[in-house]
Amino acid sequence: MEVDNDASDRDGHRSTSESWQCLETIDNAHKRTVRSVAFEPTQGRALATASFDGTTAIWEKGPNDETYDCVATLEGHENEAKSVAWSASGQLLATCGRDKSVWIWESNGEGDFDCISVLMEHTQDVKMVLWHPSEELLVSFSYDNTIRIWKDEDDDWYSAATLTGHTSTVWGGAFSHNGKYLASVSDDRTVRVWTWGTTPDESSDANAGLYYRPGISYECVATVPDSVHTRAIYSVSWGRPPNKDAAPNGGDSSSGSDLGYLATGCGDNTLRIFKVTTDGSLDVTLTCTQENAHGLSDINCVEWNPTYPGWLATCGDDGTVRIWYLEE
Amino acid sequence: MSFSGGLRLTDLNDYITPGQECIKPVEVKKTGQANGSQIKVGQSGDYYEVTKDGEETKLEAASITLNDCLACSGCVTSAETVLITMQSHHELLSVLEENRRLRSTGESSKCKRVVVTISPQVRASLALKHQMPTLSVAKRMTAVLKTMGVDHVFDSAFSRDLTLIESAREFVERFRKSEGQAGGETSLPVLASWCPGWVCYAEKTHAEVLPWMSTTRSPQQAMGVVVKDYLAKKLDTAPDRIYHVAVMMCYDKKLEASRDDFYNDIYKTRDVDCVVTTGEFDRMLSEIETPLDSASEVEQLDSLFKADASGERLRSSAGSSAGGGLEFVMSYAARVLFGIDVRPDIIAAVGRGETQHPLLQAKAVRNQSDHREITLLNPATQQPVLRFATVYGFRHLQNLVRKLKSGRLAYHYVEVAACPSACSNGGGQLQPADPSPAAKKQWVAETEHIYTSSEQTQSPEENLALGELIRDWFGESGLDSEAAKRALHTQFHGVVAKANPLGVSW
Repeated sequence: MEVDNDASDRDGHRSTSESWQCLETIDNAHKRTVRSVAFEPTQGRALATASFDGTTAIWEKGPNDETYDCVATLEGHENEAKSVAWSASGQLLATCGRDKSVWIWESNGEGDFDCISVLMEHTQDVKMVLWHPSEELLVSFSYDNTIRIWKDEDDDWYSAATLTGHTSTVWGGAFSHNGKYLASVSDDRTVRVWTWGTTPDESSDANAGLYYRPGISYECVATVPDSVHTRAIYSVSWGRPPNKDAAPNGGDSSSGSDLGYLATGCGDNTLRIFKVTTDGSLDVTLTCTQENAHGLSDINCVEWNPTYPGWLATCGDDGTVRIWYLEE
Repeated sequence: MSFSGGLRLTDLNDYITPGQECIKPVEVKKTGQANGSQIKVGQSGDYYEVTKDGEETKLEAASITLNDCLACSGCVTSAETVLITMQSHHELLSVLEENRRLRSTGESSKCKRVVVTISPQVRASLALKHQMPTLSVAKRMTAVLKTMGVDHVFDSAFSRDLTLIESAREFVERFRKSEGQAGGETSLPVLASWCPGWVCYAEKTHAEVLPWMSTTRSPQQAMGVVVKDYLAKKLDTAPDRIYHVAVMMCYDKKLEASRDDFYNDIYKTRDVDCVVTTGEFDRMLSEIETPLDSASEVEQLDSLFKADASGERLRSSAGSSAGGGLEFVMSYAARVLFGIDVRPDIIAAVGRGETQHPLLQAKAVRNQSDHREITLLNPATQQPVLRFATVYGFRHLQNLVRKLKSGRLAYHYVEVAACPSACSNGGGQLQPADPSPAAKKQWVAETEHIYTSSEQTQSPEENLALGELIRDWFGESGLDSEAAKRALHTQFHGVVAKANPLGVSW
C-alpha cells in the first residue's frame, strides 16, 4: 500500500510541483488482495483494511511510533470482503463481501470491535458500503442491482429502503457534502442521484407499537444517461463546493444552489467531472473530461480531498495513483 | 425454507467454487501401485479395470446419498434444500398409508410402529395461531395423529429433562476437572450444543471451538435414543421397525436428524427418521382436512409427556425457549459444587428481570435481551462463583466466538442458539398474517410468552416418570453407567477447509 510520486507528463498533462512520498509500506498485511482501505475519520490514527482473504484488519500507529501495527482482525465473512467504511463518529465500522452480507461492528473502546449486526438481505455480492456524513445511516451497493439503506432502531439494524433503478451491478456511491443526496454509479453506465424522505413510509405505519421500524421513501432525482460514459463506471466521489467549510452541515440550503462536483472513474479510461447544482430540481452537467487519465487503463477509484477543494486522487489499472487539481 | 442465520451464511451458496468441492470423504480402496492397468467401459456402462494380463475387475461406483450431503453440511446449495423438503410430512403420510395397506392385506406384522415427538416450542406456536391453551394443543395433536394411525405421541420436554440432568452432570464434571488444570487449557467454558444451526456453523467455520461444546445430546436426539433403544426393547420390536417423527420448530433440526452420529449402524436406522416443522405440520392438517380448531381432544396423553402426577396438566422447564439449559445447569451446579440452593425458576425470573435474589446478578449486555449474563455469588464472600450467559442470534454468536478464540471469555457456561429470541423464533414456526418486521417481532414475543408462562415449571429431578425410566433402562448405576454415557452423548466433526485447488491468488 503506497502513495506513489507522480509528476509524469508522459501523456501531456501539466504536472504540478508537488511531490508525494511513500511513508510506509505494510508488507504481508493480508493473505490475498487488499481491496479496500479506510482511515478512521475523527483522529486519523487507525486504518482499516478489507481483504479478499475475508478478514478486515485494523491498524494503528503508536503515539511516537511511525509504523502501523495490527491491533485487531475482524473475521466472519465467508469469502472475499470487498469494502470497509467508518461511520462519521468513528465508533462504527461496516464491511461487506461476496457472501452477500453486510456486517456492522462497534468499537468496544479497547481497540477491538464487537459485531453488532449481520445483515443478509442482498441477494448477490455486495460491492461497497458507505456511511452518511453525519447520521448513523449506512448504504450498501450490490451486484444485485440495488442499493440498500440501513438504519438502526433500538440497536437493531434493519433495511429501511431498497433503491431500485440501476439495471446492472451498482459499483459504488458517494454522498453530497450536506448528506441530502446520494450519487451511485453502475455497470449500466449511468450515474443516478437519489434523495429520500425523513418521514416514515405510509405502508409500514401499520404497527406503530413496540417494534416499529420506520421505512424510508426515496426518489431518483437525476440520471446521467448511459451515452455519456462508454463503459462501466467503477467509482464516484462528491467534492464539496469550494466556498463551504469542511464540516458538513445537515439542513443548510441557504448558501445557494451549488452542490459541488462529482468525479467518476470509468472503464473507458476517462475521468469526468460533473457540476451539480440545484434550483428546485437537481442538475448534473458534464464540465470536464480527461481522456486516458491513466493511459489506456481503467480508472478504478476516484476521491476528492475532503479538506482542500479541487484536489482529486485517482488510481487505475496502470498501477499508479495520480493527484489532480481542478481549476475553476 | 428458512434455515437459521448461521446455516444460511455459511452453507447456502449456489456458486460452487473449486474451493467448495464436495468434501465428503468417499473411501476408495486403492492398491497404490502404478501397475499400468487401464480403465475400460463395458457394454452396459460399467467400468472395468483391465490389468496388463488382460484380467478384468469390475469397479464399484462411488456413491453419495442425500443423507451424506445433509449430514456433511460442507455445501448446502439450494438444490439440497429442495431435497430436504422431501424429508417432510409427505414421508409421514406415506408411511402411515403403507401401514394401512399392510393391515388391509393381513400383513400387520410388517407394519412399522409410528412414534411422533412434539416439542413445547411447537405447541406454543400452534397455541398462538389457533388461540387455545397449550394443553389443548397437545391433546388435539395427539387425537389427530392417533386417528391418522400414529401409535404413540410423545413430548420432547420429557426427553429434555433427561438431557438437562445429563448436561448438568457434564458441566459439574468439567468444572471440577478445570479446577485441577493449570494455565490456559481448560475444559471450560461449556458451550451448549442443542442448536443444530450453531453446531453446523461451528463445525464448518470455527472448528477450534468444538472442544468446548457440550457433548450431551439435544432433546430431539435424546428422545430418538429413548424410542429406538429403550422403547424398542420394551415393545420387543427391532429399532428399524419403528418410524420416529419429530415435530420441531426449525429446518436445521432436519440436518441434525440426518447426522451420521445419530445413525444406528447395526439396525440401519436413524434415531429420528423424519423431522417435520411446525409450519409443515399445520399444512399437513389442512391438507388432510383435520384442522386443529375442530379436532377433538384425547382423554389421556401418552406416558412420555412432561406432566403432573395426574397427567392432566403439562409441566415445563424454567427458562427461555432455548430449553432451560442455563437455569437448570446453574441450579444443579450451585447445589453440587457450592452447596448453594437456588431453584431454576428463580434463576429464570431473575434473568428476565422479574425478581431479585441476593445471590444472583443478571445483566443484559448492550441492552440486548438475546445476550444476557447471569452470575451466582458466593454468599460468604459476595464474589462470583458461576458466570453463565445466553447468546442467541448470529451477531452475538460472532462475538462469542471471537472472545473465545482470543481467550477473553469469562463465562463458565453459555447457552447458545442461532436464532434471535431462541427457539420461539425458529425458521419453521408459524408466521403472523402481517409480514412486516414489527408484527413479526410482536408475534415472536407472544410465542415466547406463551412458552414460558402457560405451564407450571417442574425441575427435571422432580420428574418421577423419568427417574423410573432411567432406572429401568440403565439399571441401578443409572446415568453413571457406560450404557448411559454412550446413549446420551455425541461428537462433533470440524470440516477441514481445503486450500483453493486452483491456487489462484489475485
